[in-house]
Amino acid sequence: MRSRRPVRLTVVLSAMSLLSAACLGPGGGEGGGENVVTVLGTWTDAEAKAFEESVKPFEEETGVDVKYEGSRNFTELVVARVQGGNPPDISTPAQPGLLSDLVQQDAALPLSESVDVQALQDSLIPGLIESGQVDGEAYGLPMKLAVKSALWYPVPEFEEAGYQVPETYPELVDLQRQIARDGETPWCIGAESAESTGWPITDWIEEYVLRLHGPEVYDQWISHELPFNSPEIKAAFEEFGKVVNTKGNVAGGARGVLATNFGDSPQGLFEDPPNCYLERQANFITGFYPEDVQGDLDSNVGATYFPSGIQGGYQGDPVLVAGEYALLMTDNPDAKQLMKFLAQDSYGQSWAETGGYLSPHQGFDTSVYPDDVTRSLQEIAAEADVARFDGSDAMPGPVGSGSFWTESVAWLSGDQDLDTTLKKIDESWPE
Amino acid sequence: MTDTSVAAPPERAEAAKPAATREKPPGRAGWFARSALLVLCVLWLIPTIGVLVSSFRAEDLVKTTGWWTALASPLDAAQWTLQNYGDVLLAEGMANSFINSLVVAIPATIIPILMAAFAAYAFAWMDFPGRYVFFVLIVGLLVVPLQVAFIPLLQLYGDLGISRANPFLGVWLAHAGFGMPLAVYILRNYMGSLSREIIESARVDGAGHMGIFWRLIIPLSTPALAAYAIFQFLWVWNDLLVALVFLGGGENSVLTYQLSQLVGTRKTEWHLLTSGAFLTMIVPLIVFFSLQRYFVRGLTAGAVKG
Amino acid sequence: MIYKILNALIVVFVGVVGVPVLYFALNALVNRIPGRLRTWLRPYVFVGPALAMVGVFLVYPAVHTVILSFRDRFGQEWVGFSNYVDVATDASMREVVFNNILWIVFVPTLTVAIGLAVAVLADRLKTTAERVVKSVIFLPMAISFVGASTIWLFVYAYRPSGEQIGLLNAVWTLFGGEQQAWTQLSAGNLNDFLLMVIMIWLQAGFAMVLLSAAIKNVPVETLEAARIDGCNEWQIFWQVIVPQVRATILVVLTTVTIFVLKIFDVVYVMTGGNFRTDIVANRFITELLSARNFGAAAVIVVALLMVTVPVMVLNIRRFREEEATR
Repeated sequence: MRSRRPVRLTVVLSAMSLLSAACLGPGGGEGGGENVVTVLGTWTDAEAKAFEESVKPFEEETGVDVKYEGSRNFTELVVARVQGGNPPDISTPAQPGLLSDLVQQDAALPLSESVDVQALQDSLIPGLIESGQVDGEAYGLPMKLAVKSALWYPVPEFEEAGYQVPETYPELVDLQRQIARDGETPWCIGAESAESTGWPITDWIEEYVLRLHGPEVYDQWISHELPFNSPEIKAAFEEFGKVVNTKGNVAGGARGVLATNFGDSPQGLFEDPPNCYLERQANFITGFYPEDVQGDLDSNVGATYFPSGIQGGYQGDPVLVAGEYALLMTDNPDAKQLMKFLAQDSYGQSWAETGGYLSPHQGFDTSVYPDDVTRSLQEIAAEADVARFDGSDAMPGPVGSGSFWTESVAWLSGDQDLDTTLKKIDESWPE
Repeated sequence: MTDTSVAAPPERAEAAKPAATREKPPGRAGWFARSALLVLCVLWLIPTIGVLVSSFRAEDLVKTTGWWTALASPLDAAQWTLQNYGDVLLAEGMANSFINSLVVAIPATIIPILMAAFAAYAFAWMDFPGRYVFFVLIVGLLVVPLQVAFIPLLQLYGDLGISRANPFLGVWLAHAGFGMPLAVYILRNYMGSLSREIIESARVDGAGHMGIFWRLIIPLSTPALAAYAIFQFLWVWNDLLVALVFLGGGENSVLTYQLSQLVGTRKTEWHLLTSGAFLTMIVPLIVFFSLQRYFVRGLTAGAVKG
Repeated sequence: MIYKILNALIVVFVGVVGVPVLYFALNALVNRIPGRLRTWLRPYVFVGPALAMVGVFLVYPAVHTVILSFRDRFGQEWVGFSNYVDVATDASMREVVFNNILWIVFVPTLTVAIGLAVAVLADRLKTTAERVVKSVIFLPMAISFVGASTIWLFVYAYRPSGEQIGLLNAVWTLFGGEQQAWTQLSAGNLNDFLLMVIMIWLQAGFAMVLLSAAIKNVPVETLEAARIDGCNEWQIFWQVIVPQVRATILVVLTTVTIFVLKIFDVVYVMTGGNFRTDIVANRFITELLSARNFGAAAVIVVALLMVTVPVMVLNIRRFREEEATR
């Protein structure tokens, strides 16, 4: 035991461990160094490839390497990276609530550091920049749009049955009754989404708040000036309750809604004969359609505006949108260049061609979209009187991705009455 | 799935010599014992069999009909496919993740065992101030949920630069730290039960603590070391949470992470999940069956009253 | 790829060899220190690294968490007891705690009961049959959580229309029942128990292995003596076997209880805490990851730590008794 050999061995080994640390280092996903910009995002598989393709022109022009990492666990990863002092240069949160949390942890730089905010604002669909603000300062760069107020229906079966595409809310109610009279099930609704179960319910509630009370009440609601347990919000819940709980409106009633994965729910539109004829869901739902339908969207499915004009409600045409923001997280000059690139109104053309992409810019060339369905989605956004960002995404985490989901599920499943539900959601709002 | 909180009973055993096992009486189980065990085994296996069957069925069949319908016509070759396994195996980054899983699991199993063995020896056979207090502290920490450690450790790793320099080091140390109380607990109980005379005589022969530890204690403790190794390996290999927090995705991601990503961004890809679940099971099963006898013997000899 | 494998080998080698080298180096260092200080220091060479690990990875985070529980959502400002008040007055918390009590009462006892039954009954089989039975019961322990949850989602799956793909619904409708969304059935806490089944399925193998080992060490003479005295097998089980393996039963109960307190995966994957199935550990995860409310998450952990104090006391007392007999 007295030999000195082990000591010498230690020296060798610690040298080796330094060496190996250096070898494995570049895999560490750290903020980019020279000529590298790291991007952490939510898109995986085909969408990840489409994003990488969309920044190719930037890479060729500047010689900067954009390293993209996409994960289903985006939220956990970005929180972990920030806490570990190891943030990506740019992240792409889809929730203003998460964006604001990151800003409050001093993990993000204002948009004015990288782009001309005023010019951007003029080019974008109104309301998007505002949702990416924290305390009046813009942080999020809208780079991909999702239109939530879309009503989907199977085109051939609709024609066969002689159903008219509804243009006003009363027409939608009549259509729903007509389908039920024909002995069919009108609605496909799925609210199951593993640990995020309940978010589709919150989309419905937001649609009804906009259609019943208009944008001003909506803004007060999502900023908590108007409490959850106010009569206005309660009315929106009740309106959705009517859709689900009217006998025969949805397969399996509320239990069916809560047990059906939102991605599986549109399968019913394409059964022969269809299990259901109507679905209200965001544009990304087409990615869950059966492959043969995806191959030929235009002749299988139609998308129209989820109609407004509820009697006694708001009489304009509001649209509910969502989407991903690019958020600058480090002071890397190359990353700022990339932000500028992403802010161009022509950004995303190659992505749009492959489908599944909607531009947040008003002046985007719609002819590059691959099908009429996509173009009609863009029209829904463009023709609306007023656009509002998905409210649950904009609320603070404990509500927007917490109690609003879970308490709504508890209400819909019949485990708890509506007043208790609204009171509990309201109490969970952080001061 | 296992947890680090498994523990062995602290009884003292007459050890060093193998614990006396009694003669196995030749199968004298009555009809009750046999049928009860049969029912239990069937209940325990059915869920797994369902997934095994599903993993060989085509995607649309998995999603539209129950797996048991496939068993009604097992010879209908059209319904069976290897496509799911192909899809999982060929998915981007799978081979890489397999290596990463090994890179994580092997040191994360061996490091805590070695450290715990040294500590267990000291707690069992050395006298020093604080011996009792420290051991009680470690045993008490068995119950601390490891989730509490994530945020402070992320910050600590960030400050020390570990997450940048070598993220694997961070994961090894985290697993080693989380597994330490159980390892110390099991190994101390085992080492404490070794015969005092053997150790005393080695000491009389002039061996130091280091010598006794390496030449006597480690060989004698092989069963307990192997037993703990299985628990720790199963735990680390199957862990998603620690790997997700400290390694994340990309080049360093492990198998369980890849599998969880395969589920698809928002949809439930049952056909991939089922085959993926079986593929990740293979290594733990090999480890389990090859070390099974040590495992039972280790806990028997060290942990159970003789 | 070859580069990657070589790199991996080096890293693993360094990681594995580095530890013994560390001890030898420390020991060599202590050897250079003269006299009594050396004798005094040596034990700390042995326990030091383990204590350091435990200190960094368990004690420090625990203390840190207690501090966080008095700070705001992002741990930036002191907020006194307001997180505690929020959690304590949260109406849904009572239900969460009640569910957790159900878990603590039922899961460890049923796990031990099944483990003990298998251990005792399988002991009477021929060696090969015994190994097969034990491997079957142990199998779930080798399955990753992602795998296990897939397996059970297939058992409880429910379709509002069309053919059922869930096994339980298939069996249930075979016997004339109507298809059910099982994990949503909160009446009588039915869904809680369905989730507990998963946990028992996972843990029974662990209980069985330890208990089987203990039973094999029960001296044959005591069994024979009881038989000669005219005891039937049932009496032998309760009066001879159980008292002799009591200590092991206690250990398994304790460790499964600790496990139940810590585990969130089952609930997280199967219901996400919806349908009145939430438990404390899952609440912690959702506060931390979904709601990003670090203060509240910290409070829940502190509560968990408090609940585990009795378990800790039990552990310590057992250690004392053991020391006394050594």
